[in-house]
Amino acid sequence: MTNRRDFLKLSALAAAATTGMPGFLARAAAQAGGSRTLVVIQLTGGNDGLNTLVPYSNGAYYAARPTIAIPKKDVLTLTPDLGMHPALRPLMGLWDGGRMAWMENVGYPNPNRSHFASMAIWHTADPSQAQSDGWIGRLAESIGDPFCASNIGAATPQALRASEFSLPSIDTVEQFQLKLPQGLGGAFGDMLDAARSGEAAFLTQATRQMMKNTARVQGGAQRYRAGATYPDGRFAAQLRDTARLIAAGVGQRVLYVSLGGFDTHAGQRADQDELLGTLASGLAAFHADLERQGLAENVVVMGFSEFGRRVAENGSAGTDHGKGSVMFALGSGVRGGVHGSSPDLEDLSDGDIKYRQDFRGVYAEALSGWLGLNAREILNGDFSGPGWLA
Amino acid sequence: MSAARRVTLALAALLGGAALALPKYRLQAAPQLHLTGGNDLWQLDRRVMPCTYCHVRESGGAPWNPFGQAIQATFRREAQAGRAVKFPQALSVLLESNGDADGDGYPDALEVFARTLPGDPASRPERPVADLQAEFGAAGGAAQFAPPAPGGKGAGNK
Repeated sequence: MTNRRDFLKLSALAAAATTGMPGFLARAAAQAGGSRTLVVIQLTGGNDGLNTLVPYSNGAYYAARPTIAIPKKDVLTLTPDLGMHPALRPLMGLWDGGRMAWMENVGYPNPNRSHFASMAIWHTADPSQAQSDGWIGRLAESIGDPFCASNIGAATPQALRASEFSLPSIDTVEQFQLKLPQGLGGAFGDMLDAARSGEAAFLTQATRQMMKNTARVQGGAQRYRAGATYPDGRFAAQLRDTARLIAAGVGQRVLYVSLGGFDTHAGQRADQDELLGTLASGLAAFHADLERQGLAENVVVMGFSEFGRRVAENGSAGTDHGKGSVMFALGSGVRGGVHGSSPDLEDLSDGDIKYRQDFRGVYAEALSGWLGLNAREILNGDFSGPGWLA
Repeated sequence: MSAARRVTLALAALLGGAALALPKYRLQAAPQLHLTGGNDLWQLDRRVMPCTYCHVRESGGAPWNPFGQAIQATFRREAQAGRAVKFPQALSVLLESNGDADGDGYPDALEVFARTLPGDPASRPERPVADLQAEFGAAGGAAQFAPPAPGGKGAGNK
């Protein structure tokens, strides 16, 4: 006999077999429960934390970075010792309103400087690299719904892979529907109308449900009118799609968006300055949009990168792969401020900062404090966070 | 193994191909230096621009060969002068400077034009410098390696 869990797996296969599209999103609302959404921002490539949250009062920072440090006069002052990169100015309103948090000195035991290995560690929340499923995939298994979270983009990151299924990726909301080649509609309908039994019947039922709910998603998405002007570019478009999905009320608990290009080995200032501007302008528009729609209270954004970069600049006016870095969070549910102590730039580990906050503690607070889930079960352990939620 | 797991692994294997693409800097440099012509799969073909274009070892990483070191020095000089340049701009500045990083008698830009390795003295054009220089000049000189316009495909797509 097929149980509910099997049915969900078959449903996922049905979606994948037809268009790869997550057509059960509306159904997820009832199954996942809860009105809160966590939006995870992945900064791919290893964002340099020291030029993001700048220790502008620390002489060791300027000594280590003679050509790429952010001049004190340019820093957006947050505290007597720390300030934001000037390209993050669009987020100053959120900071001033107490709705932006920085988590200092975040990392994990036995840091790995490989992009692939370190990203896998952040995705699986397992520094031992023993697990292959992602923390959001396990979250979906915990909830019991393979459509309670989605990646906004082309390929599903490992974070969204469960042991038996992969959570869906939505490249664009517009294409988030079943589109049959002209003339095949009738044949497809006939196929669905055919009497079936057993697993085939479940697949038929799942496909019908997919089409029905996809239409609901499209209806909700089409009614969406952006409450803010988003900047140009793919990242901002993905954030707008994220807002559309939230506004459509399809009940997703986690939405995942990536911004790449942070591997700044050479000419860091040109690349990172631009990327942080893209990040900040996109997120500021996203938050303004949600506020205008009356949805901001239910959404928290949490950002990370797979590692930070070395304290000293290299010979190419860039920085090489490091260890710990910063995380950030935005939203009305956030306890604004800088959480955790800044790294000691004169007490390094092989040229890198010594991390003090395990990233799983930051995840744990998002899972239990924001989404109301069992963080211990999802993360396979107890981890304490810096208290970044209000 | 369940059907769902087989499907997931098959998809993961397909998507894994993305990891085989050229690294970021070579994805930028290959079209800028006109090294992609006629190869629709150039982004996946490391022969288009091997690691030894800038690195000593075929596997890349440190150390860098003389041309790679010249690129690094260009970034340093630009940063010291207060100019924040991206990789395509740094490459263009270097090639415009008419240097000969590997000291084989053929300027770097001329070697790029002739498709030899500007960081390896054992790799150099067979034609005389003067002949090649004339053809290079007629083709637009170092300006043909200018950085792509913002948002455009650039000058590199011959």
